[in-house]
Amino acid sequence: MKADFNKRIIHLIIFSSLLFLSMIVYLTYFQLITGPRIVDNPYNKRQWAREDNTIRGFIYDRNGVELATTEVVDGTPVRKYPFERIYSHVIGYSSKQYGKYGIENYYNDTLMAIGDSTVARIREQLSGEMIRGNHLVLTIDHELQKTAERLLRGKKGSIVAINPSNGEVLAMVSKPDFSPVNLNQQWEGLINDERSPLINRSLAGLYPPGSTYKVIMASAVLENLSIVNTEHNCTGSIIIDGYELSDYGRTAHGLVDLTRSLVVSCNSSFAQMALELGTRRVVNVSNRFFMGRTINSDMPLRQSRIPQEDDIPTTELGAIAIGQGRLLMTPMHMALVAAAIGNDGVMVEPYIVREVQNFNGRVLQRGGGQSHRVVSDDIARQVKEMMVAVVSQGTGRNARIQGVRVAGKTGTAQTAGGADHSLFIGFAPEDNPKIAIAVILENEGKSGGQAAAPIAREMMQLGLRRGGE
Amino acid sequence: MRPINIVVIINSLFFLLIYLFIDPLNINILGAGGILTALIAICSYIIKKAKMGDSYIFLIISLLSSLGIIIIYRLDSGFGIRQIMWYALGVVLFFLGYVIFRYIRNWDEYIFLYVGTSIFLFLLTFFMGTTIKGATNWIRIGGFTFQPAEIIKLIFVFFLAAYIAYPEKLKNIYTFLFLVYVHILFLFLQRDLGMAMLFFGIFISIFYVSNKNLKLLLYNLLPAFGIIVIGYFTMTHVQVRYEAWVNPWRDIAGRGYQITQSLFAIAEGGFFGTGLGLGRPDSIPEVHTDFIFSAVCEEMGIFGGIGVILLYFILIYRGFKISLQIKDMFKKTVALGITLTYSYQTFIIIGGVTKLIPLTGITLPFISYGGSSLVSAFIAFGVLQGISKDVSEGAELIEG
Repeated sequence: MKADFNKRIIHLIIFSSLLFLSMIVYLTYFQLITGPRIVDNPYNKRQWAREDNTIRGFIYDRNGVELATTEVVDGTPVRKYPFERIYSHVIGYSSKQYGKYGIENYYNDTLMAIGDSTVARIREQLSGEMIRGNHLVLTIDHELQKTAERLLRGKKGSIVAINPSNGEVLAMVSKPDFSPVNLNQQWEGLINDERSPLINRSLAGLYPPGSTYKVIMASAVLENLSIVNTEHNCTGSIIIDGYELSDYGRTAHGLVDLTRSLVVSCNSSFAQMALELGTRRVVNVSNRFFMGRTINSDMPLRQSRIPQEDDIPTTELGAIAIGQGRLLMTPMHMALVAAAIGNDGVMVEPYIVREVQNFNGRVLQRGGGQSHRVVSDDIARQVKEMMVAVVSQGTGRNARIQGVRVAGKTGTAQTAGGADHSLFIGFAPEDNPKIAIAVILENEGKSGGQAAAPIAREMMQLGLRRGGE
Repeated sequence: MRPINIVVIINSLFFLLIYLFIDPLNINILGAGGILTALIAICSYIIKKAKMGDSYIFLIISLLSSLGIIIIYRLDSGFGIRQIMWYALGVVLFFLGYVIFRYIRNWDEYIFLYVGTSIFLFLLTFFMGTTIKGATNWIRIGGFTFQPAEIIKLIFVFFLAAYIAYPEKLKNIYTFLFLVYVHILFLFLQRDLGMAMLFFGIFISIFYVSNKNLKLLLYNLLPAFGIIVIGYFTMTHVQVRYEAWVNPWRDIAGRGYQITQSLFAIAEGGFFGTGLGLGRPDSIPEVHTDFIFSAVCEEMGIFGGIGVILLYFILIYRGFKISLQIKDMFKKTVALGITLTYSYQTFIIIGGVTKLIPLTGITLPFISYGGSSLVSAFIAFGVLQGISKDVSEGAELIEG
């Protein structure tokens, strides 16, 4: 009897041990998986407490213009955005009620000095002063940003300007936008607006690149000597497997070589060349240009899409050649493609925070991404020449700048049901580019050369005048 | 290093921390800490010299209590000082419990007294009770309120043990089961779900150990399950607790408020905590009683939290060991009952505040603020200490 009793007690010991073990395992799991996900919840009052006691770091443009500041009003820090909607998507907002967005979100820990060692904070702790956050110096040039916002006002779409040699983002605008000031007055309208003003199109908008994709296709053709000198006879349309793929305005371009095909943006010729290259080569070059791959950046950049099958149907391959079909790209990525050609075949990862400084100006961290060679410099130079021709004598004539060799490519992308998107990518000057650009006008209903190229022109002109300083 | 030295070092460090950062340069807290630590050292010396049995139990419960006092003092210095008083009273009752339990030899004969006292206290609560936090389980006497269930817990264990020792005193096993369920029903009616769960857990475990008839055990589990289901559909507060457990995020501002605030605190603490006095555990409702474990996790991290869990584990391990070694059936069951009470209570509340299981309000033994809970725990472990004396005497006999 007693032995039996003790045996059952041992069962209870095992049971109790399991209960205690489950608590330990669960707590560890919670801290690893669930914890990090919930701390940012707006109902977590600790964030407010921390926020009421921290002077959030300032944000400056590359020349020291104050873009976001913090003032202490009656003992409480208040965030100020002097340029309001010019930076709505770049800087975003930091709000107790609506959370955080943009740089205010992904650089929150830096701006709030969260994670800086407690030892470094002892002075504030002891004196009861407010904690001072770290400041950010952006790569943005305020003059360019201001101009980009003005050029895009009243339209839908995105403008991205970067420095091709180092990946600095000089201007980034997305429309429609919002004002980070007085969010609670706009909020209902913002979240219900079908045009999605809260999406940063430059980083997260996926667009068919249209004919701008021919820049990548031209590189693919140049890499394959067997077809590079083939000429095609353009009749204004081409029939692939029973599907008709037509040229813009059904223009028959006649007998065209590669350069001529790019200059006049001949769809039938590029579709023909894609078929001759075959799926493997087209996808291979596209992947090298980071299609369907993650591009590292200090901003959350969405992946561009390309069909990943081993054998893409010919009709689809023809569509890819002219930037249609299941091909989708972010405006930032389009700018990077132009930049890579301008930079002799090397793509540099984009970044927007140039420096992190502590409250008294000491530099804690510098921005900058890695470089990736996507095509050989020889091929890049040949594509460059063709892109110069596009602007000097082809569809991109509206981007011409007096005395500067501008390289570019226009695009007019068809959309399901809506008016065409108008696109332009390019860089200038041709030999040592200071600025690369992508302009996307959503459902503009005009060709890229008509609508997007003049905007790109103005941006490049200003960019060159400011010389990247 | 001798265990008492560890306790002294830990206490000195914590009280120094409070003296330097939380309550800067208030010499009183340093004095209070000193007296507390000295009291622990002296008592542990007495237990050793007077050969009072197990020498770890007192140290562990004192360490847990000190931790509680420190956290409570950090949250509210007034409560902290009162908890030190309760601790002192607890120590007195610990020794009193030890002496009285050993002085009276025939504890196993008073089964009817135990049942009678429990039911009397329940009825008293029922008719004279004060409702605090939605549960009618408090009695107010003068300026003091106390929770009879805390005392009934121990009496209930004595009742179970008395029955196991002399089953023939009750007409048959069904009378016994009836009396057990009367206890649980009272707790249910008082809306004290945590206690009801705890009482059922103690009963079913001891029933499992003592009863060969496993079929009857099954018959006891089924109605318990039924009560939970019926309770869910008839009592809104059961529903609320359940829904707040399944998805507290759906109604953060309402029913999920307490538990999500607790989870924020634990998440904020990470592995090593924000440091004592540097977190914001004050944003959790009931943080000094039911949710004190979340405050421990916020400021000492889950490493601190797991440390606390392991301390409880050593404590119940000592209890199980005593229960295994003792021969007398009554004392064996009392030791087991007390051990299980504090094992399950710890699990119910720590599991509850971390959302491992649905939350039911119950205190964390020795750490939560509150007189009845602390004092009754000290009495219970005083009794366990008394039983452990028998073990060591038995051992001496064998060795001799």
